[in-house]
Amino acid sequence: MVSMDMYLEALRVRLEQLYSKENTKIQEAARLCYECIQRGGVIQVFGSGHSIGFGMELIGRVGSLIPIHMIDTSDFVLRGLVSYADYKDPTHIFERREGIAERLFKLYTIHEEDLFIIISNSGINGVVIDMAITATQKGHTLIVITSLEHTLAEDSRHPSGKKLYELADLVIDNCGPMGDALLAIDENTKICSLSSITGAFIAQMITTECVDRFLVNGLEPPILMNEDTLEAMTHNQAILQRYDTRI
Amino acid sequence: MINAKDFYDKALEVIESSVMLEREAIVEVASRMGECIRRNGVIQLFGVGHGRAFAMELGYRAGGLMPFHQFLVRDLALRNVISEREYLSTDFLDHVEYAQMLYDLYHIEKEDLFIIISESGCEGLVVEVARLVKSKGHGVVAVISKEASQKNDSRHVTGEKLIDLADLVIDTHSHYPDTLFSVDKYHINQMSTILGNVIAQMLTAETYRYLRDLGIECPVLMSANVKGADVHNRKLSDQYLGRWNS
Repeated sequence: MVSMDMYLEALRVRLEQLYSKENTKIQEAARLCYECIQRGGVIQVFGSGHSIGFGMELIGRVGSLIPIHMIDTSDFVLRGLVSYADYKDPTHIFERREGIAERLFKLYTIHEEDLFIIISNSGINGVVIDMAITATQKGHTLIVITSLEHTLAEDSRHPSGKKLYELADLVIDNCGPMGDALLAIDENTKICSLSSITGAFIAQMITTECVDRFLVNGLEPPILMNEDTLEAMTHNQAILQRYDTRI
Repeated sequence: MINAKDFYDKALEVIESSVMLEREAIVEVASRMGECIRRNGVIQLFGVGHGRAFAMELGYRAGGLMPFHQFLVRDLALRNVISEREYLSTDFLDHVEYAQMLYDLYHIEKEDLFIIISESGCEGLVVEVARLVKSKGHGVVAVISKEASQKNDSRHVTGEKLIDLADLVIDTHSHYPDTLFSVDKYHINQMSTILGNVIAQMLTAETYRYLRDLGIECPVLMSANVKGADVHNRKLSDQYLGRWNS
């Protein structure tokens, strides 16, 4: 029956799958991120719901790449452009409204050399597909992180009929099962979700590979350093200033 | 120099060695969570910094348990209790007065249990939230890195840290600073989210088991792609209406 040991065993199996199936694509994603940063671009990360965790994993700590920006629809509320009540209106779900993607592009400073990473488990509806369409139309490279098992099993609910992965230049499978949970408790129900853990692995592995590319090319990687020396503080300040309002 | 395989191998090793040390603590915390649910309580999650990932890992999702609610500092700004400038200020976590504001923002019942997640548990606001909810009679579980807790001084006027106030503590065993590799003069890769999320899922499995062993039905949210999931999930969330989504 269900226990933490059963969970850990199921997790090990999925993590092995992630490495063996997706490692080459993770390296390819790191190469795209490296090239984006090298041409002066910023990596724009967008996920809704639990998928915002992927962007959080990439930014804001010692060892994180600095040229990354998280797109968050609640920024409309934070900046006073949409009321909280309107944002939370259960009868008119904010992220399914038309034109949100265009408004997000206007809200932030997005340059043409920026790369997009969009994350969605099902990849079949809402603003994530709008964003992917808008970003690719504007010529941005797009990396998608999704559960292939889930997205292939369902029809698109987006007006375009598209699924997120179909719009991507590169797709990384988070190796999550349909419905994302690992352990069956009865014939209809499973518990213990996977995607945020495989997502964090993907985020970390992209960072490792991307930093490595800077180092092997003899370049200074634009990562946050622990500010325990003057050199580290100068390093952080210089890079943060370079990107300023873009991140 | 360093590649994805290095991260992958090392991360697996760290997961195995770290969470195994917390098995007993996880079972104990899961029994407290199970008791809270059995008494119709909601488990209140307060994660600061990257500790928010732990709270998100448990809060309203398919394959998760229903009775969770998140304390989110961002809500203070979104709901106009404080300004955007105050929210974005770098000393945000030193503002102890935000503890009461957060508590008042939500619908809390006396049987609710608090899980507070912070790397060090030394921030003024984290300590103040723990003090406040303890004074109201709530149980407090801390999810922290003991190494980070030891290496930092309390930033609360009382000198207390979260670890001093919690009824139960789970150590994520993250290093402080939370980096995995050193290459040249650079430190890269963090483990705390992965460790926290694995612990969160272990808690989910053990809380389910605790309730099932007592013969109590555990409120599990079904995935939306399963037939009848909407009705099932709606029925569950309605039992906690105004509490899980306060």
